Amino acid sequence: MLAWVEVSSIILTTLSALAALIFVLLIFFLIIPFHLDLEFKKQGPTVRGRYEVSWLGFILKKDAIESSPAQDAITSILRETQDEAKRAQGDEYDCKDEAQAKTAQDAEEHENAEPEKIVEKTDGQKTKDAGQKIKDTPEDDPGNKTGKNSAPALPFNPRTLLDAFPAIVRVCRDLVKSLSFQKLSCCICFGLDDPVDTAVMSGYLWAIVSALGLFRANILISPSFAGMMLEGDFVADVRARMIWALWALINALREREIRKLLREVVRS
Amino acid sequence: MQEIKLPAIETEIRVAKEMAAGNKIIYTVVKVSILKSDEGYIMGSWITPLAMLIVEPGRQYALSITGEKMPLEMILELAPSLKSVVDKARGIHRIKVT
Repeated sequence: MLAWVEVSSIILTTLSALAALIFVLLIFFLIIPFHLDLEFKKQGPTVRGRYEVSWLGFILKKDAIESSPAQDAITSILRETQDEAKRAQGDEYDCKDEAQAKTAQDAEEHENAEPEKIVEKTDGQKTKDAGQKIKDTPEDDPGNKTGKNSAPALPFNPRTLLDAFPAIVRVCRDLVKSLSFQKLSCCICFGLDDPVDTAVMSGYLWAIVSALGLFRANILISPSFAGMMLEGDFVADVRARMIWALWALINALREREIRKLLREVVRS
Repeated sequence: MQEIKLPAIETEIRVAKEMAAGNKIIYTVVKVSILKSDEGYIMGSWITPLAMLIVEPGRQYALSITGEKMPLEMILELAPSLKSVVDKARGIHRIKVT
């Protein structure tokens, strides 16, 4: 009996010591900041960079990134999007041109009451104008109304997102509080395919920099109106305290609007 | 005494992305100005439209932003990159009736 009591007390002591150890480790984990060191540079088509995550002086993850021109995902995606837009516009233009040619010819046909004529365009396309309907025009194609131009379905109600927006901003602000920038340097030169879009985008970026209070940091965003390009470098040395991130998450879950948004996302 | 330097204004003339309106395609020529500090920091930018090239099936013409007609040569002088657009439009819209 005595032996059982002794064994149980040893087990209890061990368990409580283990719990205390886990608790202390958790406190350490929450209080001692993680250290994130980032460095990226994009010059021409090549992207070079490295990142390092460390805690208490121990390196948890470290890697170097180098992408060749063939792997340059951002540029290729941007180019693909631009090509697709141009192709779509070209198709639309051709269709409209074809429709215009057909209308003009129809009118001429009514006047002259001649039999079938063939309209030949410079690109070698031939269209018979014997009253047949031109296919693939944007107005006639029912797939265009729903398929190509329709936005993808969202996993939540946009109204819920709008309701939750102030709460999301509060959470983001709390999350930003958990980060402390020891070093921040960003020098970006970018350009989009339209100078107007470039100017608007640079306005957004300057507004974000100002809203985040980073206007005193070494941040240089310069637009290039010469065409699509992205060049620059980004260096950051960030310390993140998990306690504030956890606090932000707890606060987020206390917000009714965010809980509703999360429920909708999970259900979908 | 520290010398005060005025920010510099850099100006470029560019062609904005084409806009389709019915069977017309409109190319806007814009003047982009950037206000740059001596250290290279950008303090602001603004865009002023100057003229428009309108491409319709069968004809192309230019309009100044005030609405007055302007010769095609003038807009091509302003934005030489539009020459390819005009040439392409002239080629595309040639209709042969056989």
